[in-house]
Amino acid sequence: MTSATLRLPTPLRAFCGGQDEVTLEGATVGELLRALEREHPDLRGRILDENGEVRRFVNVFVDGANARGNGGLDADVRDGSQLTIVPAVAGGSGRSR
Amino acid sequence: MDNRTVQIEIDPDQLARAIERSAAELPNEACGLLLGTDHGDGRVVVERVEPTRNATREPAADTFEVHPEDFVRLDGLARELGLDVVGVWHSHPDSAAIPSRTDTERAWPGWSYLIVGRAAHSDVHARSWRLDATARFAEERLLAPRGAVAVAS
Repeated sequence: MTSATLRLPTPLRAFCGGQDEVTLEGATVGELLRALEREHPDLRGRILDENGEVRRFVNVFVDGANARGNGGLDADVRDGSQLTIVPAVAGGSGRSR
Repeated sequence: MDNRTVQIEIDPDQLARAIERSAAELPNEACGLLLGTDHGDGRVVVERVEPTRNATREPAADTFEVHPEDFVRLDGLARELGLDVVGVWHSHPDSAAIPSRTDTERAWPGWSYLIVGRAAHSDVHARSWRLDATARFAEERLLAPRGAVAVAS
């Protein structure tokens, strides 16, 4: 069985017992993210949306490459891969809005 | 999450990196990440102020988005150094270092948000903020040990 490490950003750690990374079993990005939600139900809705897709304001990197455009949730993951959950870090003065 | 005032310590030389990058990116907003240690007792120590690319697809003069590839790279650097991503910094090219509505709408809890402001009739200045329990920004106590938190433009 394939296992991978999921690295979590600070804002999401409060929803998984303060852990900065979690090792889970799963052969694709989608399997791993769904396993993460099963293991830490408080994360539900924060990475995947109600349709099971990765939320617009979140990116998932697999071994340094953005899964968006590289197979997305169906992308295969190698044993020992590292997934990094990247929240959109944004803002600004918004003076023209 | 409570509403204690957080103290954030940044070496002035590191703070100067954000101020210099902000000037270099004018008229656009500059942005980046703060690497350091959140001691969990209301004290955050920033060791590195790192710039990133501004990947916003809106006008860069008044919005920013940290390029996700840069986030991954700096998260890895932080781990190598025994640090963590403890916050975000960005500039307001023509307004004060006070969070805007856009900043508030797009902010995440648990991070410091350092802003370099450049308001009319005001020196360049820096202030730091954090979302409180009501999802509003509360100001942090910014300490730059050798004193200066502002440089002339």
